[in-house]
Amino acid sequence: MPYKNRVAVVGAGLTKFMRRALETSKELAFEGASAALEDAGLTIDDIDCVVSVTAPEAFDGVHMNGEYLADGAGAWGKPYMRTYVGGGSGVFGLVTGWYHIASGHFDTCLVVAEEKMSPALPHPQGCFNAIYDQFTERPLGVNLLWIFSLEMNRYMQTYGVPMETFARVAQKNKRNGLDHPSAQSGVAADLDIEDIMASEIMAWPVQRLMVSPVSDGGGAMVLVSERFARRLSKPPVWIEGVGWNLDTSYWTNRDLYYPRYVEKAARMAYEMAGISDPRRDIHIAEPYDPFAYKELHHLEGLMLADKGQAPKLLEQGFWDRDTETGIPASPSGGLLGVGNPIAAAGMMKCAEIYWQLQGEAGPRQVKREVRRGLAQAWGDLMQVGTVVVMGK
Amino acid sequence: MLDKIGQTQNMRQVAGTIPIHHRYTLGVAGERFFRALRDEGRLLAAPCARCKVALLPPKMYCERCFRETSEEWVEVSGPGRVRSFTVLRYDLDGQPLDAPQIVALLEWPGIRGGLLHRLGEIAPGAVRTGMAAEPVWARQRTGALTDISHFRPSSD
Repeated sequence: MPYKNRVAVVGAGLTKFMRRALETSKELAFEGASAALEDAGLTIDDIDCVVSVTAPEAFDGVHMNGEYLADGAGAWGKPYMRTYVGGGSGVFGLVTGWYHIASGHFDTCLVVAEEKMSPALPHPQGCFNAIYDQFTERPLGVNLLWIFSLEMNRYMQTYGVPMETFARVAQKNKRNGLDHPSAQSGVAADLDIEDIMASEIMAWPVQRLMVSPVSDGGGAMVLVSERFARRLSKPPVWIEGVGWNLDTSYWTNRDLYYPRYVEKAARMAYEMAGISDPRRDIHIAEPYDPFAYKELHHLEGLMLADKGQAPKLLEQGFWDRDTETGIPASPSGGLLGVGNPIAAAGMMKCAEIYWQLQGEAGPRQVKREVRRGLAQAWGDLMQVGTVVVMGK
Repeated sequence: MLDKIGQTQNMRQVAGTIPIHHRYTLGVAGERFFRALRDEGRLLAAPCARCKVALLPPKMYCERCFRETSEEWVEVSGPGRVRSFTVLRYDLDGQPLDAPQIVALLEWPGIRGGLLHRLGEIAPGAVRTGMAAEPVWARQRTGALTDISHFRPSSD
């Protein structure tokens, strides 16, 4: 191993996800960080360094949001950095925490995620308009909904996937979310396929109940070196692989039907983890699911299904939480079922894998035995993939 | 190459904005602090039991020991002292101010933090660090920092 330290996860914590939190961004960060420290049985005095993640600061309406969040993240008097790859930030926070410790510089790292989207009005989509080119895309009033609808349509047309399949993803994740204590009010739900199919079309083929909501929330995880982990009573979960990769920033220059950036990030993480057959070696997955089609799209990019096969596996129950032979996908409820405070939602996915591997997921605990799992997020200009593989 | 760049005479520029504005929540601590400011005309601080200081402005948590602060807030009493100050001659847009404005960093004994505020009713040349200053309340209070119109020199 070329790294100085093997890195373990020893605690995770989340706030409730909300449409509009009273808490400031800093207070959300503090609540998430405190919960993670408590879960690890540690205090801030045990922490050597801090990493924070939050997506576009235009949501919070605070310029230099990483600096603003620092005290809420527990960074006073410590080496601190914010890391940022847009929506991929939640998972990338864990990657950044991993290399702080893997480098040998630190034994412990608190990784804190926060997102407060509610301050941005009239809608946070206004922030997303401004991530695109001011001459070629912004004049058309671009937002993420319609950019993604182009991608979804391409995926549907390529493989002939019916709308019911995407509704089924939303149904699965929203049902799973009913068991998550952080789930945003009204987002987790037990819905009929017909209800989901009847929800309003926002940008064809994207429908309201197949899109994750606007959310506020925080979360954190505690990473430690192997020698520190050995001093704790709870067995650690190891970070076995990390990967990240960037596709072209131009939507015009991309395949759209297949997320190459995810495949490359996954290959990097699998190689590091010594995984040659991900369908055998990955037992549980938290793919990034801000839109229903993205879960299937990403499962294919993660090579957990052949291209175009994730919808068929869905119909067979392969991704269900209670599958005994498949790979449970988004057992947490995902972004569709718990909520989408962007960076904190990615952290929630990582936390789910940690809790599942520890056997601490309570009513969400999957049926099959799990020794290794992954969390994946997607973001930046929607061309970045971030992957973390964890194992017992 | 150097000849090709910097030819700005015929350059078109296109106006643009990021199409959002913001509404901020005051937060758990801020809600209580600014309510007391507006409704009671009182400056409150949140004690940290572990660090044995009170935080002004009050915070939900202590940034140093990273624990929740006490629910039993205390009133900041007596005048503050000027730790540092500056005299402004230009506004945010670089336009000259009609009259110079004094901004001071105010501190209180037993308090970690303090307030950044305007200092008035004194000539810029007369301000000294360490001098005592008390709040002058605005006629109409809305639950904002400007509920204190400014600080003015006071006796100890």
